[in-house]
Amino acid sequence: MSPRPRRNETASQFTGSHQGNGLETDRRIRAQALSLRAIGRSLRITAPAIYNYFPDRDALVTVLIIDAFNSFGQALEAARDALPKEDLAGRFSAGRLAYRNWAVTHPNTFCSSLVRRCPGMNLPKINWAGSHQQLPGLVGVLDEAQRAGALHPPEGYVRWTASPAGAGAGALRPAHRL
Amino acid sequence: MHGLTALELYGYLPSFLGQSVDDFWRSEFEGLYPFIVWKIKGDILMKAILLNGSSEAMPTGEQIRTVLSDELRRAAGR
Repeated sequence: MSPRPRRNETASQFTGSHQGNGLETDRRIRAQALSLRAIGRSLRITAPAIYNYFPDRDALVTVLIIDAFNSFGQALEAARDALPKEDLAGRFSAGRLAYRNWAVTHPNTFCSSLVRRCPGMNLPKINWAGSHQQLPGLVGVLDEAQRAGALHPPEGYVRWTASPAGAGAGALRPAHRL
Repeated sequence: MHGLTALELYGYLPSFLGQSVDDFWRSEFEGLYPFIVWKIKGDILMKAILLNGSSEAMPTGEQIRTVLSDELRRAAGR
């Protein structure tokens, strides 16, 4: 069990990020969905004592989710960087596999940070500034591939013309602009 | 990305990764590689499934290609 945090310690004591792989944070995200008491128990403090560190439950959940999601970004980047820079498709595939593996091993964080509609979890609206929200590990590879001319439509697709910014807005627009 | 939409990207990815359209979408469909753009993927797959005339069968690459082409043509025409 983690040592009990002292009042003057930082919020990182709550995230478990010092344990490296985000698994403890993932468990705590699930625990908070059940009760603050559960997360307090894992830290050997009472649920009300959590408010010595965070103004409200949403602030705690936000810290937990962002911390875990940052570990997600780091996992993707580590997988990507295990392959040489010139192997763009290999780097992208490695990132995709890391994405999947991370999602499977961190289901609560994955659900709360990417799907954001998790049964039984009342999640706050999160300000993602400074986090790995846009998956730079994967998008960066695609960016390089596009600059290198390695992204092109396969035979049999319509030939797309460059569309001005904002064209095609509406139902077909992705939720996440790349 | 420079002007590339997620919809366009889905058209580009199979050849970039050296996969057939069928293999790429099968892996996406089966959740082997959960990708970024859930709504786009869901829309494309659902339309392709409907095109396939079944609520369960995996659409073929050709059916997905047809749906993607139609969607992209509509997006470009807006």
